[in-house]
Amino acid sequence: MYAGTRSRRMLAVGASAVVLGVAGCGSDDDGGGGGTGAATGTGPAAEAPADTSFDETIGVLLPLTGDLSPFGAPGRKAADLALEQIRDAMRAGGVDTNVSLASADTESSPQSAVQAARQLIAGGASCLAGPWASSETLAVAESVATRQRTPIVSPSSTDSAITDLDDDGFVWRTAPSDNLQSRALADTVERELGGTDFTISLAARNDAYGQGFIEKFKAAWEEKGGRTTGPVLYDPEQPSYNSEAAEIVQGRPDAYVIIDFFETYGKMGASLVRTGAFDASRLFTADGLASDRIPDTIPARALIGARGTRPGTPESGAVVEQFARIYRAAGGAPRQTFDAQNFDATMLCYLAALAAGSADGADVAEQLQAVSAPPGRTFTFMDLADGIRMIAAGEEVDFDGVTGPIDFDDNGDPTAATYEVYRYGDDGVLRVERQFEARAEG
Amino acid sequence: MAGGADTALEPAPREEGPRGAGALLGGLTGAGGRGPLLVTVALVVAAALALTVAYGLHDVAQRGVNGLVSGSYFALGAVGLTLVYGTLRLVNFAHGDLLTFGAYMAFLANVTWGVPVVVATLFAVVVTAALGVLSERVMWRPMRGRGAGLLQLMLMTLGLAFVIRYGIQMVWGTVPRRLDVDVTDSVSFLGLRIGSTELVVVLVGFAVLLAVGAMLRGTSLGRQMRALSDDMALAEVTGIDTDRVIVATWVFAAGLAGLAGVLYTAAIGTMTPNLGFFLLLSLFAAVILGGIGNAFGALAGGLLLGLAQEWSTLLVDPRWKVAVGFAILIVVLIVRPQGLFGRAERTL
Repeated sequence: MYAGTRSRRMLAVGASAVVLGVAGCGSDDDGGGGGTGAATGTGPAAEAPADTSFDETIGVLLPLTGDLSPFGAPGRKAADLALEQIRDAMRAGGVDTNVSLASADTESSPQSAVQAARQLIAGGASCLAGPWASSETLAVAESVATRQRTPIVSPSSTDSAITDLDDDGFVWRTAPSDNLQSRALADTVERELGGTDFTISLAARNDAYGQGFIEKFKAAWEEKGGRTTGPVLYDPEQPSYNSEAAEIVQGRPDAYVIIDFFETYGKMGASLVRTGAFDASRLFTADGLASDRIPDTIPARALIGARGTRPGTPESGAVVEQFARIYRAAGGAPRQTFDAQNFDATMLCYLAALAAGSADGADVAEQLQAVSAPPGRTFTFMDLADGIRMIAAGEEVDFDGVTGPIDFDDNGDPTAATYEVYRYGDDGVLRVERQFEARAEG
Repeated sequence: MAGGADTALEPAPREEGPRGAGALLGGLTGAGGRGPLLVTVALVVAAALALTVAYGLHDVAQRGVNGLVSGSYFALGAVGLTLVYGTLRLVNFAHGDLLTFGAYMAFLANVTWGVPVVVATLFAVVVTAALGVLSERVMWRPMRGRGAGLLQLMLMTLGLAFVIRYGIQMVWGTVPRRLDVDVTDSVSFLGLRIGSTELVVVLVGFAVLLAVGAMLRGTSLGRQMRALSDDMALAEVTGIDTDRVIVATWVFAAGLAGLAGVLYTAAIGTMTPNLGFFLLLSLFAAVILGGIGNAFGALAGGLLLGLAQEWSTLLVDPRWKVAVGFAILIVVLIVRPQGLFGRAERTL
C-alpha cells in the first residue's frame, strides 16, 4: 500500500540515487570524507528559500516478523500517522513536496534488514526510518547506508556501539543510546540511595548490550566517586549461575546493578536468591528487565522491590497527549514502546529533505542535525505547518519530537531523552515512579 | 556360516573378557581398568587442595558443590547419548532435543493439565521413551536395513533435532516456560548451600547412573546390549532378539533423556525450545571425556566437566568457564585419546 501511485515516477529518482551512491563511494576512497553536501552544493541551513517541489519516498524498515514482530504493526502505524500529519501540514503551509512511504519487512534479522534496505533504496527511497534491532542497524549502516549514501534513522536501536560507527553522517536514531541510559541509571542510583558513598556490585549478560551498558555505568558511577565490584559477565546460555551469583553477592555490597534480559535472568535470579544473601530491593536494572509485571518464569523474589530505568515518552504535555489521541483515533494496533520514536524518525526524514530542498540521500543526511537541534525556532508536529513554512522560507528551525527535544549530536544520537524510573511492587506489578530528562554531556 | 556357529554358540566368554563388549558398555573393570580412575581422582583431589590453599576451604567447597550440580546435568543428559552410541553406533544429534521434548511434556502435564510435578515427570519419561521407540521404528530400523552409512544417519539425527525443536516452537512458541516448582528454595549443610531442586537432580542423577551401570553389567538385558555393542551380526546369530534389545535401548536412552530434561528444567527454573540444543555440546563432551559408550564414563566425564568449569571461576572471569571446561577436554584427549574409561583400540 505504501508504494502508492508515485512508484513509477520514483523509478527515475531511484536510478539517480543509485548512480550518485556509486559515484560517492568512488570519490570517498581518496580521502575527503566531509564533502557530502559539496557535490550538490547545498549548504546547511541555507538562507535562500528552498525548492519544495520535489518528490521524496521515505523508506520504512519494520520488523513485521521475527523476534521483534510485536513492534512491527505499531511502528508502521506511527509512520503512517506521520505521513498524514506531513501531508495535512504541507497543504496548510503551502508546500507542494510529493511525499510517499514505502515499507519493507526486516524479519528482525540483520541479513534480511540489509536486503530490505537495498530493495527500498532501489525503489527510490532516499531516507529510511528504521531498522529496529541494534544488530540490524549495525548491518544496514555498514553495508547499505554509508555505501549508498542514504541516511537511516532508527527508532529503537540503543546499542552504544552505534554512536562510534564510522558512518560519514548517515546513521541516526531517535532512540537514546545506552550510553545515555547508563548515565541516567547512575543518576537514579545516586538519587535513590541518597549519595554515592556506596559499593555497587555489577553484573551483566555477556553480550553487546550487557557488557556495553555495565562498563559505561561503572565509569559513570566511579566518576561520581562511588565504588564498584565486578562486573561479573556471564554467558547467557549457561545452565547454572551459582558460582557467578556467589561472586555477585560476595562482600555484602550496598546495591546491585544487573543488566540482563528475562530469558537469562530467570536462571540468574534463581541462583541469586539461593545464595541467601541477595536482596532484590537493593537491585537496580534497566530496560531489559522492564515489563508490565514480573513474568512468571522469573522467581518473584529476584525482582520484587527492584528499581530501574527505561526510555519513555514524556508522560504529559500537549504533544504527547495529541500523539496519543491521533494514535487512538486511527484505530488498529495498540500503543507499543518506540512507536513515537518511529513517528519522529519519519517526520525528520521529511523535514531534513525539505530543508535541503532535495530528496537526495546525502543532502537529507546533511540537514538532519540542523532541523532537529538548536539554533532555530522550536516547533512540534502540532504546529508542523508553521515549521514547514519556516523551513521553506530558509529559516533555521529546531524540531522537537513526541519523544523529547531529540537535538541530534554529531554522532547522530539524540542528546536528550526522557527516562522513567520504575519499581516492581510486592504484587509484581511495575509502577513508574517518576520521569526525568537526561542530557548528554558537552 | 558353519565356522561362525562355533563361536556364536558360546557367548559366555564375552560377558567377562576384557576385550569383549563389557569394555564398551560396561563398567570400570573393563579394558579401562582402575588406573585411569585413580589417576583422575588423584588429579581432582590435587586440584582441590591447591585451590583450597589459595582461596580457602569454603569457597572451593561451595564451587565444588556447584560443579557437582552442573556435572549432574551433563552426566544425566549424557548417559542416553552414550547408550545409543554404544549399542547402535548412532551419533544422535537429536538427543539434546529429546531433553527439550521431555521438559515440554512435563510442562504440558504439570502446568497445562495441573498434574503434580512427580506424576508429570513420569508422564514425560514415558512419552519421551515412546518418541525414541517411534524414531527407531520409522527411521533407524529401515535405515539400518538398507545399510545406511554413518554420515547419512548422523545427518538424519540432525534433521530430527530440527524437526523436534521447531515442532516444540510451533506449539509453545519461544517464550520461556517453567514448571510449578520453587527454584529459589535452598538447603545448607556445613555452611554450604545447594538449591533443593538441585539436590534432587544430584541425588537422582547419581542413583540413575549407578543403576544403569549395574543394569548393563548384571542383568541379562544388559549383557545382551553389550553383546550388540560388540558385534551386532554376531549377537543376532547367537540367538539374541536384537530387535527387542534395540527397542529396550531406545526406551532407556530416550526415557533418561526425558528425565534429564525435566530435572534440568526443574532445577534451573526455565525452559525454551533451545534448552537441549545448547546443552548438547556439553553432553558430547561428557561422553567423550568419559570414553564413548561407557555409562560410568558419562558420569565421570560430566562431573569432571562441571567441576572444572565451576572451579575455574575462582581463577578466571566466569564468562570464560566454558572455554576452561573444553580446554580440559582437549588436554585429556591428548593424553588419553580414548577418553578416561574408553578402550584403547577404537573402530571410529
